[in-house]
This record gives sequence, structure tokens and C-alpha cells, in this order.
Amino acid sequence: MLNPANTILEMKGISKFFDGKPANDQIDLKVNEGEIVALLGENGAGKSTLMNILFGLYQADHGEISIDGKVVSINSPLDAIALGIGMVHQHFMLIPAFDAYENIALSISGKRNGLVNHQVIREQIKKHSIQYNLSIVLDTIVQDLPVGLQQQVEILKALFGECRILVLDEPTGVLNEQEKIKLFSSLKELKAAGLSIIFISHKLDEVLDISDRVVILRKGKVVDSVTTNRTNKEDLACRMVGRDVVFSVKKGPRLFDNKMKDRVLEIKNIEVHGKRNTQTIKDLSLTIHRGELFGIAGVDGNGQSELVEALAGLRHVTKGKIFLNGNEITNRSSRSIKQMGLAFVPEDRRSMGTIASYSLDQNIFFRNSDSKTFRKHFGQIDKKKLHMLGDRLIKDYDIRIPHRDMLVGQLSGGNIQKVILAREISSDPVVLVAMHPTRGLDVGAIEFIHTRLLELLSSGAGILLISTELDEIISLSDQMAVISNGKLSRPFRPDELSLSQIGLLMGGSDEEACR
Amino acid sequence: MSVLLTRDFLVSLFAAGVRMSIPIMLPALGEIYAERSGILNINLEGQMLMGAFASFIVGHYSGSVVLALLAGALAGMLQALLMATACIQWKTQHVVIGIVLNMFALGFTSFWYRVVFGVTIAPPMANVSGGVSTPVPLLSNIPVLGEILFSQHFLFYIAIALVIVSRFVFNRTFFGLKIRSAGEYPLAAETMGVNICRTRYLSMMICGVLAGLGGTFLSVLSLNRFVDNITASRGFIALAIVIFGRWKPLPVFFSSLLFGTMDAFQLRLQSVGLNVPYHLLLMLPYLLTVLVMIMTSKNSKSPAALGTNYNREAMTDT
Repeated sequence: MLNPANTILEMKGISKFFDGKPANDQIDLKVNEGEIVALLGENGAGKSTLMNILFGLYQADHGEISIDGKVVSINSPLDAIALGIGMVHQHFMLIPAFDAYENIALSISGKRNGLVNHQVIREQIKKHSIQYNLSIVLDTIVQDLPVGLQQQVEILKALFGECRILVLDEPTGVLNEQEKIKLFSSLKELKAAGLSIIFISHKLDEVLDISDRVVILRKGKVVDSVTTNRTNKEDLACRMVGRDVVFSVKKGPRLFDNKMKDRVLEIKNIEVHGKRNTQTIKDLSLTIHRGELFGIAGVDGNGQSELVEALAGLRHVTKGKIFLNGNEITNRSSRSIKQMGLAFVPEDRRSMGTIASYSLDQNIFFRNSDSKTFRKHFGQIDKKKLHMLGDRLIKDYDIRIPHRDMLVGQLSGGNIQKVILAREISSDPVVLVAMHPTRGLDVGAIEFIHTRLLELLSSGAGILLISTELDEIISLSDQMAVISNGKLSRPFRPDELSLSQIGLLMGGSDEEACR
Repeated sequence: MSVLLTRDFLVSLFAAGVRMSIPIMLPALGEIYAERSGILNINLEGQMLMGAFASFIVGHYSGSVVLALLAGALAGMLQALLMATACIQWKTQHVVIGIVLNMFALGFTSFWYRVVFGVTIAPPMANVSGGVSTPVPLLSNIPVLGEILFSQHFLFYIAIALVIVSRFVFNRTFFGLKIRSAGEYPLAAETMGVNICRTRYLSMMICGVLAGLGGTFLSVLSLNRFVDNITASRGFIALAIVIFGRWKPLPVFFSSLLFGTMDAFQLRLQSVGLNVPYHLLLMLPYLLTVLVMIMTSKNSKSPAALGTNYNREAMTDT
């Protein structure tokens, strides 16, 4: 029945310009029936733009799309859905205030206006979710579901539209390891059922794991198309970035070795209460010395956010004490903690790390609004000085900003992260607390950020790095620990335990069992 | 004070309360459609006024209740379409255009009233049959309850039917799902195949019809004449009631009843002759609204996209 050589989708010579700059430049893409094609490229390579054109959210300036050999015009998502194209968006397209059931019912509403037949739809949902091995919680409001489950709703929603081509835009960016495994198994089921899948990613391992063919995009152009089993990680990385990539930034010789016993951050037996459904931190202690990077690994939602917020003065510490450079900072205001030398890279760079509707200068100013440096008479802001600092940071941190008045929210994720990092490091901190600093970024940006972190270390600051990327923690940390259920394991050197032992700790196993 | 506690007093109080709630209930019900679809329809007052005026003209010259009601509904709908076009097509700010269109409606109706009827000492009447109440057979014989609820104006029965229908529409139909999704997250709704423009236009038209009927009740059916600014901010009270009723038909229905009753109560207190300035009593319904809003607004969550214009390409992340 399946003919793998059957071309289902063909995009020819697609171009799209934003403000005269090409986001897509003469792109050709072919997808066969029952094939998983990975679109690989750095942030801003044009992957999402291309798929938004396919889904009717953007209109291409040039080029044509044909499905089953017939040229089609896709003017809106409605057209795309009617043509059998389903999309799982990077930022989920679900109504947060609806439950999963209502979202799915809405997705089949199409031209229908009559009664919603609850029973029939529920049965269909059940059938589909069993068939494709999806876990669906129907009667919970979507915004209360964990992201992994939200994504399953999103996938089921696309399938309900009877799609033949399923596009997934960076589907793993928000998932933890188990959720990712679950997703991949669902995708394999779908492929077996004859669906064609376009998988957008910049994560090489995933692309190698799931796809049949990889199409590599760079700066809006297709650079290459290779069969997955004829390539490898280094080869792909090289083609994607256009140069050789060093995979893990190596820790250089340290100016400060562990003989320097200055403790810059000391957390003593703290207890912090979590948000409604998340973990409470119990009896957590750790110490960071000058020039030391302490990494905390663990699955998301095990108390990391609460710990970071407690350190930054955003969450109340109910027991225990925190010392920064020997001074107690427990439950002091966020402002005074920052003034005492703690810098903070929050987990959500768009909502907590920056003010999206402000310019770069204005965002930098926030960190320095207390200092007299940028103040003129009568409380006026010295814009010239601020602008100079902005220029310097843009240059030093290779922030790619098309023009200076652009709002920070319009920048790509990598560039926003560079803005935050530049702002925080330029305050000359004693300790930098960084949570997920490289989440969702491409290889080039990750490398850059790692380099900067190591530079900061050699200047004598301490860093607390919290990440779900185990590779990152292992390659950068001097000391590391695993957080699980609000409890921190005993600190150890990254080479002390094997990967599987660390994995067990992350899964919440007893420490002794891992020995 | 004992006069306030007699059976007759209470029955007539609640019956009047129900009657006075009609011109708030219908527009408020319409506003649920508008706001659930994402349009903050501040223009409700103007739509009522247009309905009140058009129905009066048609009623005055034709003498037909049905024609007057149709004219009121149509005029309200046309005014709502103007508001909808401004929001959806021209992407203006909802609050600003709403206020402007309210002033337009006030000027328009007052001006054309004078053009048509001139300045008269004895104001013209609508002279439409149907201003009286229509008792429901059997049900109106129930003591107390029958007198309060089932000896009402026929528009009240229509309002009850509309509340039940609306509740059904929002919970059980695809159209209802589409309206709600358009007011929550229009971009996501569109990717699920909802035509945002069409949905919002339709919702606004429904709202206009209901607001126009509310206006018709005021001019043709209740007062039997038209005066400048006959609505007297009832459109804004209806806006508050929608928030108080958490954008849901049933709570909005009961809130309207509560407010109507409060209004009837203060009128009766005035006639009892309490030794306080009547202005204070006039204030009671509004005071009640403020108090209730303070107590409930913490828990009432408005549609997420309420008052925002939908622009597809500007909302898409790259």
C-alpha cells in the first residue's frame, strides 16, 4: 500500500522577505509518503518561517506548493487543514482556558455550526489516543497540564484534522527526557500508519534518532539534504553551522583552584515552599567557592525554580540561612541581594529575564537603575552613556540586533539570552545564578555562552548553574549535585559517578543504591 | 416601615423588579456574545439608544408591535455592525471607538427626533398595543410566584428563552466554542479552523439585536414615548452586570434581576416618603453594583483576548 517514492508534498522556490531581508531564499523541499524529514538549522535559519508558510500563517512572496502533484494555494490555516496539513507549533496553539476535550472539539468545528456531540467525539478521541499511544487527560483545563501532556493534546488535535502531513516545530524544546521518549514513540507509530512528518529541530541527536532524511537550512537557504543513516553528528553540525564546532567547551586552567577556600555562596539547610503543584525544598545545603562552578542537574519541576527564586529574593525562605560572600542575604529584598553582588539569569528569558516591549538600552538600564552612573540632574537618565554601554555589550557579546530601537521581544531567543547575560555579567557579580541559560539555543550560541561563563569563573566569581541538559552540567561543573523531589544529593565531581548512576539519582533513587 | 413588609408590597416590588430588569437583561445577554468573542463593546448604550429611537418611529407611524420590535432589533444591529467594522476591519481601539459611537448615537437620535417631530409641548406617543403584561395561562395563577414571574411583559418570557438558548449555545454548540475561542486566543483558534472575523461579526450582530430590543422595551413598550438619552446609562449597567455575572448567561440573568429589584425598591422607598433626599435612594442600585463588583471581581476572569484586535502575522512568532 505504501509507496515510499510517492511524493506527497513539494515546495518549490519558496522565498519570503521580512523588511526586505530574505528569511527564506528559494527553498525547495520534497516530502514522501510515510517519511520523517528533519529540518535542521540554527535559530533564525528560516525553518519556522517555511513551515508557517506551509500552514498558511504567512504568505510566500515567491514560489509554489504542490500536494499530490497539484499546485495549491494556501491562504490561511483553514486551507492548510483542508489539504491535510497538521502542525504542532513551538508555542502550542491551544486555548489555555479550555480543557483538552473542548480544544479537540474546536479543532474539528471547521465549517460546522451545529451541536457538539459529546459522546461521539469522546469516543473518537479515545480511539485515536489508543491507536497512536497518546496520553490525553480530557477534563483538565489545558493551562494546568504539564507541557508534555499539552503537546500530546496538540498532536491529537492535528490528527483529528485527518492530516497526512504533520509538522512539528521544535517539539522537544520544552520536554523532559521521559516526555521526549514518549513523543518519539508516538511519532514512530504515526509514521507506521503512513503519515509524513516534518520535524523541525536544531538538536543533532534527536534528528539522527528520529528522521529518515535531513534537510539542512542555513541563513534561509537549503544547504544540503542527506539520508540520515549516511551521516553523523559532527558532519551535520558542520553543515548546519558552516564551520567546525567544538562540542563541549573545555574547562581551561583555572586561576583559582580549590586551594582558594573563599566561600562566595553558602546555603545552609534552607526550606522553601513551592508553588501550588510543585516541589518544596527541604533541608538543602551547598557551598560555592571563588572561581568554582557548581552544577545542579535534575528533571524539571523538582524544586529548581523555587531554589533560584529563593536565592534571588523572590521567594520566602522558611528555614535556614543563605550567605553571599559571608554576608547573610536570607529573605532580603531582591534589590539589595543584587546590590551585594548576586547576578541572576532566570529560567524564562522572555517573561522574567527581560521586558519584551522595551529596547535593549532600557533593559540594560534596569540592572543599573540604582547606580548614579546613568543619572543626570533631576533624575534624568543619561541616554548617551547608556547607549555607549549598549554598544559595548552588543560588540562584546555578539548580539545581533538589526537596529538599536528594536524591542528586545523581537529578537531571537539566543540574542535575548545574550542580552541578559551581557547585562548580568557586566555588573561584575560575586556569584552568578544561571538557570537554563542555553535552553532552546543553537550550537553556536550555546558555545558562546559556555565560553562566557568560563571567562567569568576565571575572573574569580562563583557560578551556580542549573540545567536539565546533563552534558552541559558535566562538561562545565567543578562540583555537581542532582536535585530530585526538592532534595539535593551529596555534591560530587562530574567524573566521580557514571552517567547511569547520575540518571538513577535524577529518577529519585536512593543515593546508596547508586554506589 | 411596616408597610414595607406586607405581602402586597413585596409582590409588587418583585414584580416591578423583574419588569425593570428587562432592559438591562437583554443587552447584558448580548454583551456576553460580544465580549466572549473578544470585542469589548462599550457601544452597548448606543446600540440600545438606536433601537429605542428606530422602534419608536416605526411604532408611532405603523402602530404595530412586531414592526417596532423588528425596527429596534435592526437599528441596534446596524449600530453594532458599525462598531464591529471599526474594531475588526479598521482595527481601532475598542474603548475609544465605543465612546465615540455612544456620543454619535446620542446626537443622532436627539437630532432626528427633533427633525421628525419638531419641538412639541405634548410629546408624541408610540401608541403601540403590547405595552401591557401578558399573563401565562395556569402558571400565573400560582400565588406569589405567578404574580411575580408569570404576569410579566412578553419580552421577559423571550428573555428567559434567550438565556436558556444562550447557555446551550455556549456549552453545547460548535458556534459557541468558536465564539469563546476567538475571545481567548484567536491565533490558536484560527489554526484550528475558526474564522475569527466572521465569528466576531456574528457575535456583534447578535449583541446589537439584543441591545436594540432592550431599547425598544424602554421607548415603545414601557414609556410609550421617546426622550433624549432615554437609556440613561443602562447600557453601562449592563456592562457591569456582565462582569458580575462572569460572562455566563445564567448568572447574568440573576444579576439583572437583582439590579432591577434594587431599582424598584428605591422607587418605592421614595414614594413611602422616608425623610432622606431621594438622590441618596437613587444611588442604591449603583452602590450595590460597586459593592458586589468589589466582592466578586477577584474571582471573575475575563476572556483573555478581550478588547484586543486580531492581526495574524503580527502575533506569529518567528
